[in-house]
Amino acid sequence: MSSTEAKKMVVLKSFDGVTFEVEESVAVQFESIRHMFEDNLAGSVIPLSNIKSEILSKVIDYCKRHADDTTDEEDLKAFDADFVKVEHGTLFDIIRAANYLNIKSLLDLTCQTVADMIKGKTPAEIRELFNISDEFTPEEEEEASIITRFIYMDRYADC
Amino acid sequence: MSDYLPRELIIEILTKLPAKSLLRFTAVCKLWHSIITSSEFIFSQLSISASKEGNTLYLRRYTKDDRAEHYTLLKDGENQTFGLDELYFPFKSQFGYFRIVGGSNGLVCLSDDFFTNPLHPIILWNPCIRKHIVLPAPTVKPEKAHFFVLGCGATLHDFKVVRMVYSKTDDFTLNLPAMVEIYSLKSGTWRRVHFDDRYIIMEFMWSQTFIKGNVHWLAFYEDLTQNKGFCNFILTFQMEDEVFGELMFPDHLAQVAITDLSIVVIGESLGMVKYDKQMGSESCCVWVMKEYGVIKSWTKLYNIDMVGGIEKVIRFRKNGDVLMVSQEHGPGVAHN
Repeated sequence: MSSTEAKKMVVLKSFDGVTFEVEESVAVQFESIRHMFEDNLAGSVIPLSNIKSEILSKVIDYCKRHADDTTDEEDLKAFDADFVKVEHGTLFDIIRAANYLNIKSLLDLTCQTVADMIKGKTPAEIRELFNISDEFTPEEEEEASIITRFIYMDRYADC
Repeated sequence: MSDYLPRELIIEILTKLPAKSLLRFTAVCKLWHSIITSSEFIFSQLSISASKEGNTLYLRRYTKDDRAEHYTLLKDGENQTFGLDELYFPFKSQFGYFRIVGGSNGLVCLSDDFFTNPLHPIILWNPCIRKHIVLPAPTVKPEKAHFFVLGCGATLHDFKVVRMVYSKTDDFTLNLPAMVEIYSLKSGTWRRVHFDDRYIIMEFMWSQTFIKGNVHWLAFYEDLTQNKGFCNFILTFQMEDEVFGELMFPDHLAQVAITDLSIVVIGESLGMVKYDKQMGSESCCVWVMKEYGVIKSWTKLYNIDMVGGIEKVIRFRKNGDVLMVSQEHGPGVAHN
């Protein structure tokens, strides 16, 4: 019955002015802006002023796939694995977008990807990757690690 | 700028990392350090890890010829057998070997008090990262003859060592109550704790068991009201709030020779092994306190036949096996 009905559409506009028309069933995954189109604002354009079109299109792709309940779990896993194969700048952009739109599963997926990517790296490599400049002095670094070592011992022993 | 992630998102990523990485990443920058060492973050990490945590056991062998101690880390996973890795041991006991006071959260507490070392240093050792701390000199140091008993364990945000000192009079009776002080890793100092019960912990043969946030020692007191003589019980010390407590025994455990008893951990519960050392029919009886703190829940589980040089029970494994020490063969495993 629902398939014959005209699907409710929502229009999203990216930071660089590109508009995307998405089905409401997909857009409901955008927790933080849900109220905007649920409050009967159908037809009006919802501006997403801090998401680039390139990223918004990816996020919409992700939500479309996850809204489609005919996709089986294996396919979805394969899709997710493929989805995060992007360069790290793009990955960070998607994390920010997922956070802004409050899409929990996408935030988990992308943060886990970053965690897996960085877990074997050195502090210097992390600083480069995250573009961090406020380094510790060697003394601060040594002092910083003493208490922490003891705090994390139990988990450390398991590694 | 495109690489910049706000604090909340850094936290989101860090919560998905293993401890080994977190440890290293405290050195990334001040923001990362402040996140990883913040109490909310640590608390969330500890609760995650508590569910994943495997059982580890430290095994120590002492070889007489080179007078060296050999420590091995045994991992008792769900499906795996023990792994054997000898650990680098950077200390030397003055005359013999250290007392292993206990271990909690990957940290081992050692005390060199078995053989008259007047300084009897107490060491906190983390074998996995090869770090240790020698505790500062205690503040309770009676001039006259005395002995001390230790307990150790982790609290939510700290690691503590409790030290009870029993001094003796000229005719070698004990001055009661004992004097108590506590060391906190966070503060790095000893501090006195109030204690006014006339409870006694055995000299030299004491040992402690840390479970459910409490240190447990076998102790006894003289029951003057009911004229029962000496009565055994478990003296507890809650590390977080620093309060003493008592766990009583059923009558038949309360009245036996305290030297025949030993506190153990069975699964998540507190247990007790009572040895019968009669020559030729050596055995032991295993008890468990099914509901922690409830005296009526002490239940006798089974007897273990110990004929043939089996010396003592050292550990109850997760799968129900009992690990025991035998005089001839070193450690062995007996099935439940």
